[in-house]
Amino acid sequence: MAGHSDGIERLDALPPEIVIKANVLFARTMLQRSGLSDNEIDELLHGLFAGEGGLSLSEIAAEPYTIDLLRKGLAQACRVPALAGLVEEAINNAETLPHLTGGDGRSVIVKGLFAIALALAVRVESVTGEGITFYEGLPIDLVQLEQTVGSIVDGALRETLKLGLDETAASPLGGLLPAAGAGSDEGKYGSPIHAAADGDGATSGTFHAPAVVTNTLPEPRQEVILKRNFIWHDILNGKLDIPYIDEPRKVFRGRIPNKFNEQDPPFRVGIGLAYSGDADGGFRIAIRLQTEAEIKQTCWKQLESFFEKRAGNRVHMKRTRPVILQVRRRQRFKDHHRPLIMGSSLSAAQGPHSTLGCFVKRRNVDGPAMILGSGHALSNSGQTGLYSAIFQPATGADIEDLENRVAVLDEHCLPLALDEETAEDRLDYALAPLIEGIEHEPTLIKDIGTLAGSAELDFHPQSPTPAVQKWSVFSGRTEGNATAERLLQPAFDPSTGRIVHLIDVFEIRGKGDNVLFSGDGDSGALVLDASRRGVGIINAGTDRREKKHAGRTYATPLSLILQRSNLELV
Amino acid sequence: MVMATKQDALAARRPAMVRLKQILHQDVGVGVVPNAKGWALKINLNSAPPDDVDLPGTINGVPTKFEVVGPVKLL
Repeated sequence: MAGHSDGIERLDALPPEIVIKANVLFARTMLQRSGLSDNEIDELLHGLFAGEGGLSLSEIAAEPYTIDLLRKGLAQACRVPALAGLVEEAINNAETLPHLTGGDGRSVIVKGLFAIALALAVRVESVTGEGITFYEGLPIDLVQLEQTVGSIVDGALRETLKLGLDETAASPLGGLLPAAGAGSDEGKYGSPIHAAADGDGATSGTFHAPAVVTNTLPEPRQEVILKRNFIWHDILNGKLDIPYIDEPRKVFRGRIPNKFNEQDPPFRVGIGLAYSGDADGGFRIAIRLQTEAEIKQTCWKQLESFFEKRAGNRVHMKRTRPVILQVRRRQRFKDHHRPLIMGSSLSAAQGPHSTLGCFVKRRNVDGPAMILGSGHALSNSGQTGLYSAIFQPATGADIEDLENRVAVLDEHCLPLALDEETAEDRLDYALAPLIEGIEHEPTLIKDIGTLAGSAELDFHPQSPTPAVQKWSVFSGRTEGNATAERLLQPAFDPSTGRIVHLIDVFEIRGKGDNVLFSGDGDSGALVLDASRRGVGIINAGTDRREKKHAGRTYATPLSLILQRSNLELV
Repeated sequence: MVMATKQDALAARRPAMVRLKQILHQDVGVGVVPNAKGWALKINLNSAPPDDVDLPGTINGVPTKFEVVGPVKLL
């Protein structure tokens, strides 16, 4: 069972995207055994996972890259008796795995299992923006295979880059971007090719084009992901001696998008390896031309002919839609802020991420400064008891995480009401006195300036949509306009899967087209008016990926909170 | 044009929630907004109503303004 501890120890090193996707996939597998309909399962999954780590279910489902890895991992894991037993045990008896539980048992079990599946079976050591690395010690045959395949890929790439199909044009593939194929590219030859990017989505730097290959070793078939590094800068700078095509229309005759430039070439080429589909295993060189443009048939035939002459049936070429690189977001919420600042991340133990709103104290009482934050988040939808620790940064830390404890929960809303009749006196906020010695900055708001007190938003016919702004570590500084007040607004609570009722909240629309005022984790963030006066605390919002609907944020008026708990700003 | 005060609009929120839930079979959010000549109810819908549903132009004498905002969730 040594593998278990390895997997669990490595769990923390796994990117949250991987873990969340693992959760979803595994939970879906479990739920499918329950007889629920697909719609019911989707609804449950949404309640369990949507919003966690900034990913929606649709985004999770749309990323075949990781799902594919997980499937391979699970399949491999089931071949290892100890892991297969764990999978079965978890499915049949999810609450009784003491070595994996702690906090939310189901979540930890799922994370643990898939960490094991990933870390041991797929041999993934880490997945970062720079690519995938694996455990040391691949079998010698696989190492040899990697070298062999690597030289074939290199050769094919170089030939591809020098390919000339038209007497007047150096190469229809000129301006090549070293991206790889798409997950949607699963055809006869099966294996998708995946891309990873470094940095924050820039189209420069080193790209890795890992290709999934299979060798011909005896069963069980082993798989390894190879990485080939293609350097976009070097290609652009001519260091690889690649002719750049200036006039692609000579080849494609008007079928290229009008706004063509060197950053937006007609093709992006992915190159890697695909399963051959032959009974004895093996692979072919996979070339994926990514383009929105329609490729002229004669041109396509020429390309096929070229490869057939040089590589016979060892090449499989296919057109795909452009690949959108999956870029990891920088996890700014993990930033450690001392002194504490408004807008930094907060959480209760094992609770959801939220935002520090502002600092308040009891009116006419000589007491400590308190954090004003999100009621539903810091109380974990009523599951966190009074006097529980609050942590910054919001890591969902356990109670032993002494270093990051900053406050103690002192007052919060009852669980938000499940019907509008009982919602009357339940405002969504929480108060947590700072632990002695924790410094805080009570007035300065990053990217906005000095907090200028509190105020009520002023709605009237001459100013029906007052301007507002906010800063949070999750979504930065945003601007918007308040569009309605005193709303009785139902909202989905992802922690419980239930609809709760917010009362007397005001509504905010982001400024500009498709600009949302808030996102996941922003609960608790202080909303300010144009004069930098605090006017509200964010509670809820529309799904940021529901682009067909209006993006709206909902906030509880600060004046109402201050009055209710007899508070004033520090 | 129907005119309503802010107090009228606030008082009409809960009746509006009840009535619209009966008509639309979905939870709606109801707040108040100023308009050119007074105040109106701002009604948030999860999804577009069926074509054959006639949405009321006023509720308890307060003008209505509907918007499909989509599902709302705690952040």
